[in-house]
Amino acid sequence: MNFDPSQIELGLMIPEFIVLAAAILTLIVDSLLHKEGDRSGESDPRGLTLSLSLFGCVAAAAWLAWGLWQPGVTETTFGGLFILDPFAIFFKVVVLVGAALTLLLSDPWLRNRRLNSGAPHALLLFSTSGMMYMVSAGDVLTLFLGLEVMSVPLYCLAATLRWDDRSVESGMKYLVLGAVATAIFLMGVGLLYGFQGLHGAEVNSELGALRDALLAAPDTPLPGYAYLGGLLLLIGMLFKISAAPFHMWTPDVYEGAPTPFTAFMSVAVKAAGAAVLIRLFGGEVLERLALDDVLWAIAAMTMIVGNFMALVQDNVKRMLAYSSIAHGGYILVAVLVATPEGQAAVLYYSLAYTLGNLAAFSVLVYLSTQGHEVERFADLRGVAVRYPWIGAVMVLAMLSLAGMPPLVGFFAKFAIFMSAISEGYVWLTIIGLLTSAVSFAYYLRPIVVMFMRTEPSARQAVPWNPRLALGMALAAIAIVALGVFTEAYMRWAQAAVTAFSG
Amino acid sequence: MLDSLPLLSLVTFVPLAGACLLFLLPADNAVLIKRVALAVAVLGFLVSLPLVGYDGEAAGIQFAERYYWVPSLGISWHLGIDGISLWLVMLTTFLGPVVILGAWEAVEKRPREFFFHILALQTAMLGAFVAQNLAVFYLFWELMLVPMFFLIGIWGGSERIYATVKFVLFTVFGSMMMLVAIFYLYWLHQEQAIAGILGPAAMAQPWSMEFADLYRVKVGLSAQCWLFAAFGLAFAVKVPMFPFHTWLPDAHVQAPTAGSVILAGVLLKMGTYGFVRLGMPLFPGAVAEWGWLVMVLAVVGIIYGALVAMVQPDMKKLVAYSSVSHMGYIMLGIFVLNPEGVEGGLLQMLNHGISTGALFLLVGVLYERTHTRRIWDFGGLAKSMPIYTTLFIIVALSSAGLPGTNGFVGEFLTLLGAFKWGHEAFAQSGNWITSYGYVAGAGLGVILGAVYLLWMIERVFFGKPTQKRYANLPDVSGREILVFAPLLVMIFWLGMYPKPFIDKMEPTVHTWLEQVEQGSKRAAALPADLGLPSNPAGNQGAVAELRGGE
Repeated sequence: MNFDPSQIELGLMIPEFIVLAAAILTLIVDSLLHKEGDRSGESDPRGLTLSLSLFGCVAAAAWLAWGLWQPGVTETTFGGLFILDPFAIFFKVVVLVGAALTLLLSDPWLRNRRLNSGAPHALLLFSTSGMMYMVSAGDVLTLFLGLEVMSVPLYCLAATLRWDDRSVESGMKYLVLGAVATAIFLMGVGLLYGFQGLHGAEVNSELGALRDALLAAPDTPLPGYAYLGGLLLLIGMLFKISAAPFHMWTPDVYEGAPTPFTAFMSVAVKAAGAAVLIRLFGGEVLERLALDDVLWAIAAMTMIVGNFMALVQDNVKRMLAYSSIAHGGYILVAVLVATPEGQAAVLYYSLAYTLGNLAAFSVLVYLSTQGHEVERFADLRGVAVRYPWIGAVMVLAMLSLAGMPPLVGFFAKFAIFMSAISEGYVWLTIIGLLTSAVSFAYYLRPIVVMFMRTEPSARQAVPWNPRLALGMALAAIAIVALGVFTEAYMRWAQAAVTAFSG
Repeated sequence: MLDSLPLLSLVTFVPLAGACLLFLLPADNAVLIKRVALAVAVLGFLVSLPLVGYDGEAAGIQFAERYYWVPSLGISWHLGIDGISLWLVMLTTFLGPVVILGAWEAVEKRPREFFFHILALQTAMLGAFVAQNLAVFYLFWELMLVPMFFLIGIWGGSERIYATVKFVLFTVFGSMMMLVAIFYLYWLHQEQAIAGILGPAAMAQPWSMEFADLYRVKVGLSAQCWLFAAFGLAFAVKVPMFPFHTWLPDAHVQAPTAGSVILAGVLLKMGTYGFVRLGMPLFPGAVAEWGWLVMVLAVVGIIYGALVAMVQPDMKKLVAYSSVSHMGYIMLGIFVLNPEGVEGGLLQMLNHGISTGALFLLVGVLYERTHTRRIWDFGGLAKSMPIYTTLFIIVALSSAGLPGTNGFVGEFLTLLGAFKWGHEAFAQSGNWITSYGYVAGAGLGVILGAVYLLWMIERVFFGKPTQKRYANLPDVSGREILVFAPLLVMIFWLGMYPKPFIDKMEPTVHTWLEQVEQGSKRAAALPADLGLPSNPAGNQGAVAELRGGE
């Protein structure tokens, strides 16, 4: 890890710096304006903090998007600790889109619950910056730091409603299981370090060096602890993206956490986790560590468990939690495929899934702005009769998640399973598509309840909320537009991986 | 100028554009909404009329249009019709105004959404019939589900939600199996194109979803059977073939009248059309191998549907089961693979769309007046409703295949085809049952069909009224006559002078038959394992040999 300090190019990290600066400014503004214990809403700093944090996200995304027009080159700094390639840029944009939409969603929801503090905005931004570092990590250390910077604010966000038992429980569960996952991950890192040291190579935390050490002598079998290290590393990440059988925490955490932050957890963490999996296990590493069969089984199990468990939920948030598990399974299929097509499919899928899920959660948030949590199917009764456009957003979200053409979710599934077929994973494709057929059963439920159960609901009217409506409309339009104009978007995803060295 | 007009896109999207227009109208002005919807449907029909100018002599794909959509995946917006899809497109646009006029009074709640879904469904069905690219076909195939899901789920009967979810899930399971096969076939095309088996043009663009390109993929027998099973499952659910038919009676009984008419009239044809357009020409080897199974299921469906229809107490359910029976003829006709059978099957698609659609409308008329469909509630209706009774009897007899009506021509040709097939099979095998069994079973179905329809007519229209309150029902109104008049015209036109219809489809049918026949010969000559995951593009020796054969 020798690098020349004069070669450090901080310029590559400008988007991260923008997000961090926005987060810190948000905190400062908040502490200046916000009076502790004031729940009347008079000393409300959030108009300002929301604008600040939104500005941060949009500015960072714009910076990155501008960088995308540059020829897709890979730049590194800090001696390879930090990589900025089109692959990383893509995921950063996805994460930032998720964060910006979540900010739009969370504001009215928090306002309605008299949470007059800008702290959640700052936490969201800190977590986002962690994800951004994570997807750029060229080295286990950076990766680990990014992982923690991502996770810790999320634990706090899950427990934002301090007086609500479910929220606190959700935060605690997330914290404990997150810590376990981290420990497992570190254990794996340690074992692989040991392997590196014992096999002549200089101990080096760079991912490239680790890969080289593993692939150095392809004919000799690896020592047992190297396999174990790889397995633990994988399990640590699978915890984070909640793949079966490491998914048990997900429904509880998603159910208890405040709805807007559930949305963020379900999409951004998954996208960042998928990116890390590709960086860690891309190329032949997966095969070398004998993890391809393991991942096959886990992907299949995740798709089956997620889709079938989602069928029997009465709570929409829990249903969406299981659905997110299922989508994790689809993403794992593409991670397993590991060809450039497969990796492009992961990219494509992450954004498709982010948009679909955020649109679905935004409907719940919109209906929950009256202090009452709308989260059971029964709460959605007849909503679409009263508010057809909310119903329309839900229909688009559900059908995109289910994979109905010409919405973006269909082309995402198309890309994933096409890449799987090309590598001969026929059975995995059959499992994946049959479980997607199962998924129609639960994705139709909200639509059935909203459009077809018209028994009068006692719920009071939901006031018009332009910010939320904007967020919903953006997500809904993107679901349709990215599907219909899928060509440009797919090319972008493919270009991002062609430049990606693996 | 007119040549460059994208006519098929226009035909496809006029209903959807009109449907979106409905949302600009005030939600509570039902009359205006209905009028606009009707105008849109009539416009859709008028726009589709130039398609009748299809040159029957030339056969092949006409009115083609092709634009890039997702070139990197080989998906292009390629539309076109041939003699097979021509009449199905016309049937769809023809039924549009009829259905909307038929639903004029029946829809009270949420009329704007109702007509939106009807028109959107129209677009989805037309799109599936005119698609020449598998991705476009699949797009519309799936899209069809959404409006139908809402139509049954919102405006249906008391068990509507169960019925609509069942309908969607059955179809989706089929579609997903088909999607696996689509991916696989698409990948095979790419592998073989790169290996050079499919010629230089394919090598330049190995990713393709074009029907014409996929027909050329070389698939050995074992792979053909798997892929045919996957495609066939999707289509068999839609037809529906015995034993995948169980969703149909539920969906029909719960659906509003308009939904039933579209479901029976057009949606079911999507399944048989799928077999004709994709299942059989893509996998002719599998058809040669397993066609007998499809034929057995078709005959079982004919008899089973008729027997179950006979004992139904509910008129709508009776008509629904009669659909199962009639769709069996279509399948049988298509799979005997001779000109008579295939033409009969194709005609039968139109006939069934018209006659069964009309039957559902007629049952709907009665239901609007009485809110019951149980046969034993009625009796002696002929006295109070003479015009209605006449209409019903004509339509029912056309459905049963009375000479002079459309049903006769289709059924006769189908049976003739089945007989011819049996004759040839007997000459080969000498086994009576496996050769003439099919035509005998189908013939039995014709008799049973007459039995259940006439028995229903007898119980509903003749004898004494069982309930006093239904003794003086008003006869059909002027609007209702307007609904049935075009249907009656078609019933007799197709029954007495089907020549113009057959003429347009005949050359296409012949090329199609040749394609399937040649294809099955070619498939038999290929190595059996070609196209399996272990051997997607043939080993080197085989590749050279295949190239030589090109």
